Amino acid sequence: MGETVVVTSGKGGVGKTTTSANLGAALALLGKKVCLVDTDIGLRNLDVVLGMENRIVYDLVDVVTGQCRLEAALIKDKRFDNLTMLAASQTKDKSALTPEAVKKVIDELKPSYDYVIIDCPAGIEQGFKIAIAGAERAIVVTTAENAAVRDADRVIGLLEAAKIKHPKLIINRVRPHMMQQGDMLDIEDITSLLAIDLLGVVPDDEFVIASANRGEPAVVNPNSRAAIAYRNIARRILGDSVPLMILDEKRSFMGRIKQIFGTK
Amino acid sequence: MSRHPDNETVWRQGHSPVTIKGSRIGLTFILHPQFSMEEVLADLKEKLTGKQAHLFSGPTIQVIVSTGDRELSESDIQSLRDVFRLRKNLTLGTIGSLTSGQAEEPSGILMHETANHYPKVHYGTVRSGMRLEHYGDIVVVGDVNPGGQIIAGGNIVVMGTLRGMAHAGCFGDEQSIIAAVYFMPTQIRIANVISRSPDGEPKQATEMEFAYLLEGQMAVDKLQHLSNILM
Repeated sequence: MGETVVVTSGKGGVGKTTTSANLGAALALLGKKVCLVDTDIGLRNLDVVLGMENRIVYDLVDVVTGQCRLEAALIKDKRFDNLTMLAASQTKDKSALTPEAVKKVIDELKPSYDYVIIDCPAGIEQGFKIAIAGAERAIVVTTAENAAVRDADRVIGLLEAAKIKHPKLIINRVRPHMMQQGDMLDIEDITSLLAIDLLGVVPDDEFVIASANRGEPAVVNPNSRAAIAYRNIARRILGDSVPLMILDEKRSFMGRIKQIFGTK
Repeated sequence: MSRHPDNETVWRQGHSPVTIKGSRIGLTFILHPQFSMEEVLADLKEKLTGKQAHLFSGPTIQVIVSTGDRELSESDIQSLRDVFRLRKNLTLGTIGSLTSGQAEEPSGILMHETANHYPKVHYGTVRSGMRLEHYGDIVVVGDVNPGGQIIAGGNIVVMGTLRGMAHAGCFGDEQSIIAAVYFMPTQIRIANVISRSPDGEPKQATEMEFAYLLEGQMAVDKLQHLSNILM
């Protein structure tokens, strides 16, 4: 029996879909059977990030309304044997589904997978309720900005109210030099405010954008720092104890000279 | 309320200038209109501090004053408040003519909640979008995050970091205080006074502090000095 995890944030654009795709791929690389479910009806993205847009025949709404069997709507990823996706519908909107109906689909998926990862839409309305309906655990994604942290706080409150206990935190798109200069909230500030367990910190990495545009998860690249962070997070989900990445970028020779003379 | 011909008759019938009635919401003090304000205040003072005063000891009690069709001046209301201040656990809320249905409600928000004047203790973080309301005092064992709201008829104590909004004495009790281990609120309100944190980067609080009203102005002081205010 698998675990169902919802990836949510409240605020849009902090990297829910990217996180879902990369965690799914990373867990699949570690040998776990993973099903990714996109619940952002009307604004689906997960298929684009995974490069599977052209293979969608049936979607979540079709499954719920009985147009097709669940198995027919599941799309297997050709690169990762263990990764499967259930797409959202692009032509309908969020009112096409009810939380109960989605929970039924998720419960049906659970026995065949180790992890069912649900990609949640932004906001706290119907779409959010649909996404969390079938989830047992939650991952809250935030960036190191006040607005995103506020929304994450609100979402954590709503998750707790919905009896999804102990959500975990991922801080995404961190720029270490901005944190050092105090221009970005630092990790300590965020974790002390939100008061939930930190699952990982993902550095800002242009490669993530590039790979999303190419339609392949960033985790396949062993040189990308974000990819390493996502792999570490996947291992932490499996229960390994992996230390937090040291975010400090290596200083250049001149940078070190400047540091010695106290100008940096 | 039946009118009596004169004060003497009323006294003989066993009435006094102030009648106290208990209700689900708290105590209602009925000021009978046939007595002068001086008699009312003297009787009230006697009831609150005299031989029967022990009746009023215990947890915070919400007090409503029913004035009937008596017209109260600003100074009369002030004198009433001063008398009620003799007992710390009585929170003076509504003053008004309850019989004519025109009771003054400084803030009607808590009226729907079941009356319970024991302090309300909340365990855990009060997160953005959460709102804690209570007639009496509120104790939060945890943080209050930005966007979280605490609204109390009495005092507010936060056993953690207060970063959100707190409104103490929401029925108009200017004696209420707001205390926190780390006092970094976005906004605080006591009775009708609103105060916000200074603009710019909030400083990390290092010691326990509390806010109170000093001559109608919001003041913040170290928690160690709380006893000076209560004296």
